[in-house]
Amino acid sequence: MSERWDAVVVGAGHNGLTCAAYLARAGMRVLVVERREMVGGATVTEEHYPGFRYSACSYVVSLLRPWIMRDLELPRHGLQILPLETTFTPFPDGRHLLRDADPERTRRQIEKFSRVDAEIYPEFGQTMAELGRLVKPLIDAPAPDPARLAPARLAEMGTMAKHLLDCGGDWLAGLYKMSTASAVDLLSEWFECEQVIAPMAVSGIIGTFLGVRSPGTAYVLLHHYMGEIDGSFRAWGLARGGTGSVAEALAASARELGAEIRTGAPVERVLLRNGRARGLVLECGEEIAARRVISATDPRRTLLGMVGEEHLDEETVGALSRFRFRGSSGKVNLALDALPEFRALPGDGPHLRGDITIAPDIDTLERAYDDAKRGRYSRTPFMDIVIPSLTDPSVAPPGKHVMSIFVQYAPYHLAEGPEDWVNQREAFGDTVLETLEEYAPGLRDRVLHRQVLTPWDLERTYGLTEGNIFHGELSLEQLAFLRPIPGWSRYRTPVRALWLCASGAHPGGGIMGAPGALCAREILGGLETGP
Amino acid sequence: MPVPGPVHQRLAALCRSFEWKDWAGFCAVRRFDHSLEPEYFALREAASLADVSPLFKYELRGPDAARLLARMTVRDAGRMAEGRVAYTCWCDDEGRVVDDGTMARLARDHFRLTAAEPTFGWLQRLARGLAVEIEDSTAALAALAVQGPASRDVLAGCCDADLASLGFFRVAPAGVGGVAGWVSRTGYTGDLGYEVWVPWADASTAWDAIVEAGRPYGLVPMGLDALDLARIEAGFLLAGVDYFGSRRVVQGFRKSTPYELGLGWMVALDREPFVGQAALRRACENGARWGFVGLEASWVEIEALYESYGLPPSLPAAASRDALPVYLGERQVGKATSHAWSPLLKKRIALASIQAPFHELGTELEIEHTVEFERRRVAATVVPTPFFDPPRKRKP
Amino acid sequence: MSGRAVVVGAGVNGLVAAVRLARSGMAVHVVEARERPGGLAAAVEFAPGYRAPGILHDASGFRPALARALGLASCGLAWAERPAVGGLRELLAGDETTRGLARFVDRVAPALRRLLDRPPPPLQPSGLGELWGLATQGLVLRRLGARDLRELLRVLAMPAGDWLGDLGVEAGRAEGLAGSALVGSFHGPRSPGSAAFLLLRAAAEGRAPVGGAPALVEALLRRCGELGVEVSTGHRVAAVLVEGGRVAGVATADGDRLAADAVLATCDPRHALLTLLPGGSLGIETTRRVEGWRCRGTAAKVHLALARPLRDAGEPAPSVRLGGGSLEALERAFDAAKYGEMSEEPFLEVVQPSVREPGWAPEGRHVASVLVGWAPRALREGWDAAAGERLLERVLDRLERHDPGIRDGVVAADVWTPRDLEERLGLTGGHLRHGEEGLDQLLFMRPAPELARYATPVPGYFLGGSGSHPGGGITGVPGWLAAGAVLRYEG
Repeated sequence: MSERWDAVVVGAGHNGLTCAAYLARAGMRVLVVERREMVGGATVTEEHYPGFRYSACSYVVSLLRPWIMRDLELPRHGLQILPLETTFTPFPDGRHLLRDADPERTRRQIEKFSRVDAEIYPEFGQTMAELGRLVKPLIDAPAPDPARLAPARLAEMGTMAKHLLDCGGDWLAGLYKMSTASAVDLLSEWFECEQVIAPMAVSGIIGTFLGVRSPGTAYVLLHHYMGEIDGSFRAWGLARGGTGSVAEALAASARELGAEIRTGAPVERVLLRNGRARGLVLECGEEIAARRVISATDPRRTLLGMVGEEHLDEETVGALSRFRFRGSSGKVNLALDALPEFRALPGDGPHLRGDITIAPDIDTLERAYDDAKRGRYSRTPFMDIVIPSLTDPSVAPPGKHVMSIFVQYAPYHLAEGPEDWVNQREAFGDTVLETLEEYAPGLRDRVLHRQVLTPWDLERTYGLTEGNIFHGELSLEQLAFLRPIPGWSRYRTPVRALWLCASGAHPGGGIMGAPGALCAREILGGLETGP
Repeated sequence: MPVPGPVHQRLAALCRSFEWKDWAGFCAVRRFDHSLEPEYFALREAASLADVSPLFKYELRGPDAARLLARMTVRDAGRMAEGRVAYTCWCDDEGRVVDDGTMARLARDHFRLTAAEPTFGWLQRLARGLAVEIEDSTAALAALAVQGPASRDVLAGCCDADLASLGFFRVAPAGVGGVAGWVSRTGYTGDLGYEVWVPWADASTAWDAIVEAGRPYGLVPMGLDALDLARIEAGFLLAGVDYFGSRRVVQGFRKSTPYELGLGWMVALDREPFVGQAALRRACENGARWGFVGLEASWVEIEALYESYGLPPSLPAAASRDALPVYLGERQVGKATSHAWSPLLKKRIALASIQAPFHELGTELEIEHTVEFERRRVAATVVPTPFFDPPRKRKP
Repeated sequence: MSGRAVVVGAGVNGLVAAVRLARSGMAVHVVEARERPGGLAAAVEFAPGYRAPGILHDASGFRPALARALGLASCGLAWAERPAVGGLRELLAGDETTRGLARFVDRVAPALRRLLDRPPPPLQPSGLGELWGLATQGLVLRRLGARDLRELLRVLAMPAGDWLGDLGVEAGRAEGLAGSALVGSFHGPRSPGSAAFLLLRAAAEGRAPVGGAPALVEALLRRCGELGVEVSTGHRVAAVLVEGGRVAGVATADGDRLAADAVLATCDPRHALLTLLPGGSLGIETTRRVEGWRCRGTAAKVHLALARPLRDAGEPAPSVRLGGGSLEALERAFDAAKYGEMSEEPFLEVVQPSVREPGWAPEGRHVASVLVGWAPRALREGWDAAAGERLLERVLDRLERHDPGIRDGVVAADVWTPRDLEERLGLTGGHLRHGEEGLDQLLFMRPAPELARYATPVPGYFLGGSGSHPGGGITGVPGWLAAGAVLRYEG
């Protein structure tokens, strides 16, 4: 046993790095241990084919908190977020919808399908942005627990309650509706046309095991608009150099602040003494002593994997086994010899430089979900695609391109069992490419290399249990004060001195950094950090 | 990126300044040459021709067309005679103005509504249960504005309607340059003027005819900058500049009732239910928080201000929409949202929203004036609008 | 409030409201479009001598406390000894795997009933009185204790299938519980918020009246008679009259004008607000919300006259639930509705009142009341006679598989497709509960925030049917609470 650290963080994903940086900034001696040879977790850039750099898992920086970017001086450490201005939806019948930042142009685009939808679209955006603004404080702070009576907490809840009451009845109703309705139902209150509803509804299901008609999917629509609230900080976009550069910037900042990061150091278990976390034991046998252990992996892996059932009470074990993962997505990364050519809008143009969504209609999306429920990958999948090389030439050789395809659904729990993904991986990849070929003929011939990541791969390689990209489903009953387990308060676990700082804690997944920062703040007792 | 309007080729051929803007998604000329003055003076002394086709236009046809507009706007459209045009605004459930425009009764069961913003969905929603068909004629119908003291003479030379009997705010079917359409005695310039309504595809024909007929009278095509200047002199408010439509903003304090925009005179409260009626009744009783008024800045003080810098007083020719704060003593009591130097009146004028009770006529306030990047103030008095209102505008 | 009140609809909500208003001194006139009163609780005599116990055959949600408050004891209403036939309690009882579930329900039921039996909390409490009401409701929830409170909040948001799966409830029973809770809804066992259906129904359930829902209707009618309430049947209200900005009465389809100081509508919200009110009475936003009120019916009803009773495990079954045998099968049945199809393998909730009580069928004969899901109103090929027959086929098929030979015992069949429910019972969308009961359409959202406390923007016009809090079923609670709002109205 060597010197004692103030904190050791398990996992150098973006949340782990964020937490370490904040703790180091406050003067703690912090060590981060990472299993893989590179930092980042699911926020990584990988080169599997010479000259082509894939954002292997996450591909869009969605809500990286501006205050974290400022506090840790990430732009100085190399983080640059590039705009993702357009959303292009090609339809099977050859028509398309292209939305961008020009309201008049977007209005004319939507008018192709519905005049009334085009008219109400700005009002919808405005309402969503306002709801996002009202919700934002809930993301940038730990979630209050109505079941706890501690005076400090009551005061906090009072502030939150006052904030909500100040919103006014209409807005409260709007927030309630966003939390409980389905994406399709909510959008149907505003819009009439399926070609407008389907592409918008899909943002509600990303990373979930739900369909666009499932209650609870409306809420995530707000995330798109929260990017607007963060305004000129531009929290929504592509990271230059691939999303791995987010982790690189965080690591650079953490190191400059004094934290130490060791890669290639997988952890075997947490060291316990008298029911208290005292450090780690690495797989190589080395012991690391620390005052506190902070896990940036998911709750199940942390408690059942690194601590062990025998050290936990029955209720905790039960609750952990009920905490749901059910990964539902896959990823296909392509190295392309040339740009794809979409039938619906041939040629190069702004439409290729943003989000490309394959979401033809609501029934197709529902059937894709039905497939998943029955343990099959979707035969008519939904896809969210970006071609980052068009705005960021650093990720591909000149004239060539990288295409990042997020696919749903690809259920971890196949009817034949998750291990069968090994057999079904290529067929899944083929289905994705065949589907895309219908929209962009000739794409297959331009593929120089493909990487197919199934939920099985996400689990094996990136440590994402059951391939769930959010360290646990973001369903209503697993959110806020119920995340990850009801009664676990504010990043603590039942094991003393063992903390959770990643997506398995509030406010959940996506590249936000908030769980990491808020966990650090909690550890530091509310000093030093915060928006 | 805007798309061409119905007379784009004509405009493009004439627009030597390359100064265009986007008006509701269409290409519109700001000014044709290096200065707006020739266009402005032609408007005030002779005649001008402007393409106002980007206005949103809707045809309402059916036995309940009048009922729809009565339900939607603050004026009782049912009481309009055929051939009449009325300037109106419409509100949301809380009595805050959504938009303003004109409604023209072309026939017993045919109304035409113009608006600054897309309104088709709003109309459709209110038409539930009513026997009325709504057509969006924005891109089907072109609108050309012929304005100025000689405008009647110009139009008489290319239009087959009996203009002498076309009274103020009236509309009649007419052929212009052989193209069948309508002519209304309406406009946004505060002067004698007409608007010509013809099918989009034939707009160029009508344009050419008007230009030809206008030659002997010195008719000049006019861009939006000159029009803006004219409308400020006329005291007309502009959505998005002098107020925000209630569908465009979220916070309540940024919205306005008709009373706060000087449009209280048009609100007819006691009749069949219409949108926002109860709230408007309350607003009328409670009184407005703001008034929309005219301001006249003291030229003497402006001159003295420039003199103190050793500079001649020079104000930009074009009107400005960069709101200027208005003060009473140390306290800011309002903002001048549209302001300009009026070449006709030789005065510095502004349209402003001023807190009650400082909006009363004659109140002495101060308006900000920047010289050499320094913000200073000059005296400004609350005056009635319109600033310019020639009798010929209404005279038969 | 005193004076005259007109109640639109003589279903259970309408009759309950009428009794409450009459007891407080108002002159009440109930107007019913159909020939017989009772709405969805009225007995359906579908073949000579055969009566089905109402389109909705479960009256176990009618609170005895409400019956007492209405003074129904003297009107011949009695309560059954055993758990309600058709209720969820009978499924919860007597099984190892449901014990934990039953106990949790028992612990949280009192708090939930308080929520259900009071008007929904105002979103913008105005004044001390409302704030106090909110605070007391909050306190009741806190008294559950931290663990139960968190669990309650967690469960309300969950899919029923996950909840039942976590509790280890046996597959067939789980299907029965979830199916009964969800039939007619637009939720499947995997839909978030579906556990709430189950929990709220189980919490509110008590014992059922002897004679079922029709007996309840009879008792209410007798009480109405005692109080001088006038009940007219065969009269459809065509419009609510609004004069001088407030309600003046109603006009019936045959031209009668009934003056009133207050009108309480118990039909569904879309009908009450968009059809009965003159255009322009509601603001634009309210109109939009009501137009967006989701009421896509997904249930059908089948009544069978049987020469012999349907048997379950060899015995005549007072009730039985039949599906594919698992939650996966139930989810598949629900999936069909999304695409405008009827379930290949429908879920059936079957009640045979004749097994325990006389009077439903001739001597030795039986009646089966079958609630069928999922059969969407928006059936792709439309609800014509052929579709109705297909539905009946699937029902009889399933019954036959459970109890071979039952088909031969069918003497008569009466089918109510969602289209029949809409056209013959005036239910918009054919929805038996006047609107979907997902979390986003409950409480202060039912049917819209500005309408949730029973008053409408038109002074004197109130909503008191299943489309108001606490929702549908034969409970009478919306009617009771709406009547309360009428009585508080200053006029």
